[in-house]
Amino acid sequence: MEKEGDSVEDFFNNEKNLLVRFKENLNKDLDHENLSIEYKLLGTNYNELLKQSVKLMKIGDSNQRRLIKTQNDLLETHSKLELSYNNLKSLSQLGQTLTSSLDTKEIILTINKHIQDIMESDIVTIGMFEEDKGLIKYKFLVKNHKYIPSMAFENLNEDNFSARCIKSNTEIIIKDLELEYPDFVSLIHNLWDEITQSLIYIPLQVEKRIIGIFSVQSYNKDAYNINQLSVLRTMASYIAIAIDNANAYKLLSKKNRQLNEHLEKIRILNNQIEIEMNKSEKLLLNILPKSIAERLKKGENIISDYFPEASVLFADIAGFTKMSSKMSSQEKLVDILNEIFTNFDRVAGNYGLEKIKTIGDCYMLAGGIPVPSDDHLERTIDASLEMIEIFKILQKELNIEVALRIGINAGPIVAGVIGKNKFVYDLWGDTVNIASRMESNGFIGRINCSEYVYEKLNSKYVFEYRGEFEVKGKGIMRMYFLNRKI
Amino acid sequence: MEKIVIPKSKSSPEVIMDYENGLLEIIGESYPENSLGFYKPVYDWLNKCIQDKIQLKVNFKLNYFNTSSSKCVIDILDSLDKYYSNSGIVEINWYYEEDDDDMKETGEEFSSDLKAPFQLVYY
Repeated sequence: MEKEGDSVEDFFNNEKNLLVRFKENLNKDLDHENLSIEYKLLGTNYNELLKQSVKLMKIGDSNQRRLIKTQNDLLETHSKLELSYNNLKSLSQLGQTLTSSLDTKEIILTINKHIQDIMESDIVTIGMFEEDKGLIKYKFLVKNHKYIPSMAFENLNEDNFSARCIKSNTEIIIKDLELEYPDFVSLIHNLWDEITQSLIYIPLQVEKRIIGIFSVQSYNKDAYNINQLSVLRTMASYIAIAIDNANAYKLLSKKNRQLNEHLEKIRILNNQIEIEMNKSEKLLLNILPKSIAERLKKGENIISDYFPEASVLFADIAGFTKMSSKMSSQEKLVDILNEIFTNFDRVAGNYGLEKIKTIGDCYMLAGGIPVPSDDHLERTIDASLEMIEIFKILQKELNIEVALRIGINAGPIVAGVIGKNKFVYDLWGDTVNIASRMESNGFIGRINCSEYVYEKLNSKYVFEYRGEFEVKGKGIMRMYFLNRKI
Repeated sequence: MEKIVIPKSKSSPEVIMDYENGLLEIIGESYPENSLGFYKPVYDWLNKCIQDKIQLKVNFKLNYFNTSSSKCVIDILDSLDKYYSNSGIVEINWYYEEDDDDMKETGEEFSSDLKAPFQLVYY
């Protein structure tokens, strides 16, 4: 530049000197010969000046061109920097979007959209590494900008790009498939597309775990430059985190779903168990008094309770055995018995009495057990009167030629459950035996009571003294028919 | 129109096109070298059925398909969906083996944008 500067200064000095000399010559009175010499000299100098001028103009042009080039270079650098900045900014935003997504389909669609803005791509896909199966499954695929459900996979035990990428844990860049890997052409074309030319496989890694492959492909050869590769690498880091999160979420959701399914099954089972338990409970309460059933459930094996006073009633359907021998249908016979005993059950329930059992055509109930009470005998007596009345109605309704005979006694008894199978709540003791004798020594359509009963309730009920009777195993006993309430 | 059966090959599925019963079935694995070429008769048959406005039942019983075949499946489904939107009667069944979660999920993906009735059926 200093040399060029000197040349410019020389040029203007020479031009100035030439003009001064020309002016001086104009003022001189020169003859023709000297004038001719001066003009030639002037011409020569002027030519020199013109040459210098052209040279300087060339230098000027050259500098200008260099200046413009430098300016263009600067603009280009600025554009590149701006693009890099935008890419970085955009990648950072992409990273935020990806890492906050838990849906792999959404992830690949986001990736594809971003890639389309900065480079050409005909296939964008994410493959999942299934280590146990030795496969990379490319279930997520965008082909020609459209999401396609895919089943494509590559076996890692065979020689293919996925296997190479995973095994070496390095990216694979193919600029010209047919030229670089002619043996793989049919494999790739069948797997992806018939016209795939450029392929990039980048392993997806989280910490030190390889979780899959990110692949971008183009139908053109040499489709990706260094900058684009750099962007794809950065993208792969984000994708790896996003996919790992999505996989974890999917697994968690699956476990959660399974857990809910199990819980639902358990809930249904519990309901069934509860229904069955209720059935069992109902059945148990049909067999045993509630308090006794509770005690058995709590673990008591043998229940034997002494009651200083309880009442016992036996009701026998006299003539039933005779009727059954005449009746052709046994089923009808059972129906009749069921009808009678069901009515007796209702009466027992109404008076708070405990049905003990039926023995053939004989019905047995007790009062004052398992919960002792002061009025058990009155309730038993009232129940017996109602049973007689009900039986009369049933005789007509059912058109049966049978009669009811009732015997009642009261006194100390032992009540409980013994045995392990087919257990029943039963009564033992002399009081029970005498009640049974009262029934067997009674009369059809009447209520036969022991002296004990008479002594207890003769102030409230009307009794009819029958006399003394020989009772088997007991000797002579006084007996009374119960007629009605006073 | 006679029933057309394309027998299965190593890389292509069996295809049954029964015009009388309006039934299309694609069964097996699908990764032919030229998927578009392979499925061309299917498109033609389907278009004819749609043109004739017959009731259609389409059964996919695929075990595997490559991405090109996948694109063809999408095209078939798109045609059926358009037909359904234009009052055509369509029933699509996607069969998958009971333990094949991938095939089930793929079926779910295919059905996600469809309006036509699409059943997932395990066997």
